[in-house]
Amino acid sequence: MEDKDIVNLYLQRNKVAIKETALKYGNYCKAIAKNILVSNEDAEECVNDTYLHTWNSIPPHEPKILSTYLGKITRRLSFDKFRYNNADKRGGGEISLVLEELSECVSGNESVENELNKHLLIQEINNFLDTLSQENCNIFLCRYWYAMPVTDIAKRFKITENNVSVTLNRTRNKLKVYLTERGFEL
Amino acid sequence: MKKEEFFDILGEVDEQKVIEANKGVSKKKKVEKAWLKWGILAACFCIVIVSVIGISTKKQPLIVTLENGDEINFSTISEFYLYNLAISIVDRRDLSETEASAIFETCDIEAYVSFEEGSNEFIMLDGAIDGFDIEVNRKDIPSCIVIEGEESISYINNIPLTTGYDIIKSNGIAVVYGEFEIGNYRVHIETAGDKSELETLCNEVAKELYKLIENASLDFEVIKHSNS
Repeated sequence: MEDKDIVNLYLQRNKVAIKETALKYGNYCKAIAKNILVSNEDAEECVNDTYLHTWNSIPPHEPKILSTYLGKITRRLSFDKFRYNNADKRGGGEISLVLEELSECVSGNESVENELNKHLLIQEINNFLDTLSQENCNIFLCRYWYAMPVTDIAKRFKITENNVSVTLNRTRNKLKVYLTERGFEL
Repeated sequence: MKKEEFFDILGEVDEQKVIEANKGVSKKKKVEKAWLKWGILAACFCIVIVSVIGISTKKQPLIVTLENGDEINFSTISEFYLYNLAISIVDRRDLSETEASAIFETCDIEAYVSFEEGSNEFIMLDGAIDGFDIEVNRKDIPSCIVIEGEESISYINNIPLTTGYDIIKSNGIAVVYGEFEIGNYRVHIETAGDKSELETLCNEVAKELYKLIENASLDFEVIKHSNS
């Protein structure tokens, strides 16, 4: 079923929308959740919660791109779950490695960013991604949006794991410099 | 900012980019050309015999001796990293097959070419060539790749080139590079692998540099913006 037809089912409050969403995007959402969460059960729970959040948010929302709309919800719920599970202990799994890498870009201090600054920061990150080659941009987002393991990224782009690590390392350094030059002291 | 918050913020980037990332990169062209590529490569090796005799020493710096007698000296450098290009790019597109064959002859290349805002002149090429990363910049444009440390200068057919390697401490990855200037442009190639493969990587980079200098026209003037 086309995305716009699935969205229309949500808008009409037809519960077939959830079934169609699960059929078309269940594996996509599951993959994102599994990258972030170690437990299969937790991942399943987050995917199911994604359907519920989607049901509750359309309407009023009417997403233009259903896949990333669902992906963002899954990513957020899964990361919330990860934080909840790891509130008082050291993390585990792929997401811990992803966060460790991202820690190179930030100070680790409590943030004083307001919503406007966050919006500007996202805009600058988008501008930064525009300066990258398509492949480097894709590799960066596979790692830091989808939280994919380096092994999977290497297979997907037909390059070595070492090459992925070097590319990510350089892109992080470049991002930090780029944002610092534009006044973002993260 | 906490790393968790930064991860959250990265979740809000442009959705179109996120979709593109999930598609991966099509290597169809490379797969189709695989046999042709290896056939041509084998022929090149038979005719030109660009075989590398070997690493003459295992001490730093690493020296690769080409069969034509030229020695490529790979010194260890302290660090190199990417920097944002301090110039406005007006347009960016794929390198066409016609341009690729005119400039790189038989090399297997997939790359983007970028043009300067205002002049519409070609200023940068970046992508992959024969499995190596490649970046070509107009000489007056600062390179995106900043190298810190002592570089070695070697020569292939009297063309000076700088070569070196860096081993990333955090993961033990060796990054090996070589670059030279030709006409108005600077050509940089590099590869990466486990540090145990350092000698092999140096050999491969030396061979690729030789191949480019010996066989390719490297006439970047053929790259034109559509509005030129």
